[in-house]
Amino acid sequence: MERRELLRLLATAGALPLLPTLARAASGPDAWQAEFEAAGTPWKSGFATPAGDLPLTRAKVRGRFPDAVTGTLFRNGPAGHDLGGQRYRHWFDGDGMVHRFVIDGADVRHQGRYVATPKRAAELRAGRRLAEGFGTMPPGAEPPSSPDSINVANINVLPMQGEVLALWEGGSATRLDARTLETLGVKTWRPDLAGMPFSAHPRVDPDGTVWNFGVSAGQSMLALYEIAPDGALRRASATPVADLPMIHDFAVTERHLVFLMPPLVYDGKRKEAGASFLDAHVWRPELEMRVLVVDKKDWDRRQLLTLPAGFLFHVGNAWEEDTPGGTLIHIDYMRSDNPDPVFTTNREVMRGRWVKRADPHLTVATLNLRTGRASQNALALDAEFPRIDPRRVGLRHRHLIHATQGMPDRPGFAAVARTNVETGRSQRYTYGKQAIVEEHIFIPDETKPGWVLGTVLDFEQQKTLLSCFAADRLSAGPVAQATLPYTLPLGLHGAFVPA
Amino acid sequence: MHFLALLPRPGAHALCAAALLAPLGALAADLSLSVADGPAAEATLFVALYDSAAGFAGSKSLAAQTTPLRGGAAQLRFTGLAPGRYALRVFADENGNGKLDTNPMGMPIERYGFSNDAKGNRGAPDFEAAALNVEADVQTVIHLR
Repeated sequence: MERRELLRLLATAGALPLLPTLARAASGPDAWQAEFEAAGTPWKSGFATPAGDLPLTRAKVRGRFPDAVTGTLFRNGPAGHDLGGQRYRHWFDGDGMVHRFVIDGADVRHQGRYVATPKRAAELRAGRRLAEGFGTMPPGAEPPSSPDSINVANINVLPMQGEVLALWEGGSATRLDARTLETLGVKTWRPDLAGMPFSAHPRVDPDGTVWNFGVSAGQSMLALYEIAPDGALRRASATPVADLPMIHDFAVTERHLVFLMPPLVYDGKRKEAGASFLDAHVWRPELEMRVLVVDKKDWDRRQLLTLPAGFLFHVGNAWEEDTPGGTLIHIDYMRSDNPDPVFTTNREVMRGRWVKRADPHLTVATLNLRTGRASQNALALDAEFPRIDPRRVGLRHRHLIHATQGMPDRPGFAAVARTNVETGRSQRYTYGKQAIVEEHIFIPDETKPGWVLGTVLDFEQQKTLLSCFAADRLSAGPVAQATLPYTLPLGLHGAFVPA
Repeated sequence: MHFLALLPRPGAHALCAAALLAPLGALAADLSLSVADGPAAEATLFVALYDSAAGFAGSKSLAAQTTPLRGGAAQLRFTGLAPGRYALRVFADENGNGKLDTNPMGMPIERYGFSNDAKGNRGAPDFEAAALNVEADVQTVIHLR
């Protein structure tokens, strides 16, 4: 639009609501949106925005999904990456879309539905972004009035009592109807806990007890939750922790909660100066990787240990054993030397660019609670999206299911692996150079070896696939595979509910 | 995530329903307030009036009033104010405990608002953002959130 024309319109418009539209027209289309649209990379469909909800659709199935896998796989991930011609600058910003894959033998159906958060509802009405994301400050965004006003419910799911909770980490969980994926509202565990941060990686003990935490970066406070299997809150508290960093995941053992605290610490002054939430975090390796161990029964009993500085999103599992030398906690996690990927790689994909940074590696640490000493061993195996047998949470698990084989020339991993964290022995199935592996989860089958279930974006045929493997014969390839007639945006985490 | 406690606890200041605050003989003005978007259930509106940044920051109000909220709305008036700049801080006490309840992270869990509908950046707005010029009688509206 010509400047003169704009001025004329401004002079004659008289209607204030027109102004934002005109201002956008004047500044031209969003540069990242234009770059993304122009990008020729075939994998970019993994970061495209579905225009709307995806109705229940039958997939083409090869083979037959085993009886133990009859049920529903729920998955969540950022999907609403652009709106009104504006594109988010970070993969983790997007509005969450929850998926359900309904599996019954040779019949697989998929449904995807955006979580109708207040943020998404308000922005759809306005036709543009109104509030900030994790790594993006949209022009003209107003400061949020509460964490839940910028909650995008886009990280994980927690099935509970006939509902599915769509999890973010800065605010409340969001309740969904498990049958329709309809959004029911935020989950308030107790009236006085309204709006509290509830992280996206709760841990569920084999007896069904749910443990979770929440980080208030600005307050440097850590919240803890214990929830009974029936969904009733047993306990919650919030206590200050000095230099509390970004914590995405944690672990439980039989008697402890274990937090690996990478030295990526929030600086309120950077936020006030206009940085995004992500960019308000400062890498402070001098703090090292602090390890906070909290007694499950008495949350005031805490111990702090240290490991060398490093960064992580995900923990596989932790377990503890009493030895003559003291109680040892073994914990495996996906360690990278620094947080570069979250600042660069996970941004650049939003405009269809690929910037290679170090892949996280499977690392096994041992914490001696008597001596306070901690040590670790990094395996020569790149790994992300770790999952274990849900019956072994907090117990000695040995095997980890994870994505592996990061590619030099494009995002994501090409293979799924099952690795013995004690011996390092690993077997894998490589989907191929034109596939991006999403999280795969372990499905128990009584006393049998069990199954591995997960999705992959095949960008050669531009389809999302759901595959099932025998857990002990992963490298033999899928025993059953469902092919959707479309691609889904690359997601994060999921959970399986047997029929 | 990263939100400061929005409001210092309202202090135990004596409530004065209609204060004559201007010195005798000075010009005096009235500040009329309408409050909207309160809770559907009955609640008590707490209103504090400040005449300085220091008072606003330190929760030392010049005057305060309470009034019932009905259907989420209420009106009230501060009378006889000396000409100057004033800011208002209000909240809806829904459970009758006389304070703005917060969750353990310091986030309000009852509705609140400021004059000018001022918003802070992860905390209360500053006095200047919320301040009204009261040179003559003034009417203003606060939308609770």
